[in-house]
Amino acid sequence: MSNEQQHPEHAQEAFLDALFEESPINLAALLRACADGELNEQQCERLKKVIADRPEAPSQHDFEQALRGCCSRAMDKPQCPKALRDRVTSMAATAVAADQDAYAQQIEDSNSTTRNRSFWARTPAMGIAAAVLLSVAGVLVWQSASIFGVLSPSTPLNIEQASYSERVGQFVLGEHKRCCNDDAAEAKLIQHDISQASAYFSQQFERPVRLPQMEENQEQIRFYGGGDCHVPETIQSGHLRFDAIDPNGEAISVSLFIAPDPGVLPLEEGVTYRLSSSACDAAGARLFVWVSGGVQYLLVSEASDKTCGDVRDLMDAPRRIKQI
Amino acid sequence: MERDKFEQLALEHLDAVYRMALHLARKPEEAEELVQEVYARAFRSGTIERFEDKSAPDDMLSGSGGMRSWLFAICHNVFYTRIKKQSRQPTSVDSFYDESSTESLPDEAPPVWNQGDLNWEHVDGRLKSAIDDLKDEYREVLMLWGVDGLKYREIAEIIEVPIGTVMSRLHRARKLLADSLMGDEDIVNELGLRFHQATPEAE
Repeated sequence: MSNEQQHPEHAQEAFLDALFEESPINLAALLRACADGELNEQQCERLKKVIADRPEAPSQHDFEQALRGCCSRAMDKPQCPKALRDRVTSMAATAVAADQDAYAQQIEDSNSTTRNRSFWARTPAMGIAAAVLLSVAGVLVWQSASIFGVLSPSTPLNIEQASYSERVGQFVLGEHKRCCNDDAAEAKLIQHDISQASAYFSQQFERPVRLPQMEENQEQIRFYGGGDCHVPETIQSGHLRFDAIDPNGEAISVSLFIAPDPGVLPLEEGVTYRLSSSACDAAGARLFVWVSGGVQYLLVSEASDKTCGDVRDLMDAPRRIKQI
Repeated sequence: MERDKFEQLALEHLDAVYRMALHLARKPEEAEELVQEVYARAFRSGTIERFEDKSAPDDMLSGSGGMRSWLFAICHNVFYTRIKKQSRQPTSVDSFYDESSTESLPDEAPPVWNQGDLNWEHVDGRLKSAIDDLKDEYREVLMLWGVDGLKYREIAEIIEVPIGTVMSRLHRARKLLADSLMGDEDIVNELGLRFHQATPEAE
């Protein structure tokens, strides 16, 4: 650690003292420091002597003081938007909960190591039986989740992941809603051939991007267009808009955001996660994310659960679902 | 410090952090992301133990030297780390000044003026536009100094540069603003501005 970092006040005094020693004296810098209230008493007295024969100095000093006031008035002083304030406040609450969970987990871990040997550990045969039963139960649970798309228990996020989840939710919802408007969509989503869009993004990401085969599914979904985007924490990303046809025959916009997986969220391949986002919840939208071949897919839409499920199937999203 | 008190204190400076984020990022949506990132880091488990309140005993509320400066430092670091990540290196002020604390500060005198009946709205409007044109490094220092009223040494700690560099950047920013005012004939007349001596223009 440098001397200046250890004693910033002393470093500043020494620096200003040195200005008096320069030849010729750096009067302009000292006048500014004086106008800013940065000189100590001795330095002020010393400056007074220096400027005694300079009639213009007081006016220059006043100009610098007035300029500071002007800067303060002229620079924007916006207030934090209410939605952001709410999000940050809720982050504080989440952090408390996370701390409490971690504490509870520590207690549980500690307790488990001091517990008596369990019933299943009393003989080797009982241990093997327990292992077999657990394996069978695990396979059954996994199969039921895979086959029926059951929502598995939520995966806990740390504070940074929760913050990212909120940010990405807000971003993709905003872009999705903006591009539901055809004028905005036309400007952004300039690729209208899905094969070309797939090739383009595969080349950009240097890994294959999987998009639905439109010819086979024209009754269920139509591709509107795709274009470059800027999903948070990604260098390159794409936004693709589809119009899904719901059971009543009405078209509902669905947005798919793709990017090389930034690795912020703890996503496992083979699982689709329903992502928590207060912005999407408030807008009645659903947000899903999955990773395949190193590409992160984010699907957002106000469509019903069933329509979202059908669209995910068309996109080859994993059928096993977890809340995150 | 207890977590409740820590969070309450941190949230009290949310407007100031947002203001700094907006001045750095310039776009509201990026500023919001930046603020969330700042608070995500601030609320991270274990941070409270490491937080050191350096504010004066009789000035706990202003946040000067304490919580506010600490949050500003996080905001500065997160913003410039992102810039580096995105390979959008800002133009360094090294091109104007050596960043060492032993550099010679430019000796360019402020204008002399005669305070009369001033149209401050006109001056402020002109300044606003000149401030918007400043580079990030200058605007950041100017904001911390002009709006938040921080001392040189506090600014130096926040942006992790020597005090001489803070003074240089402030000088540059003020010089550009003064030049902007001098370039407006109406303001020059209203303020009665004049340079006492020829000012070197080799910037």
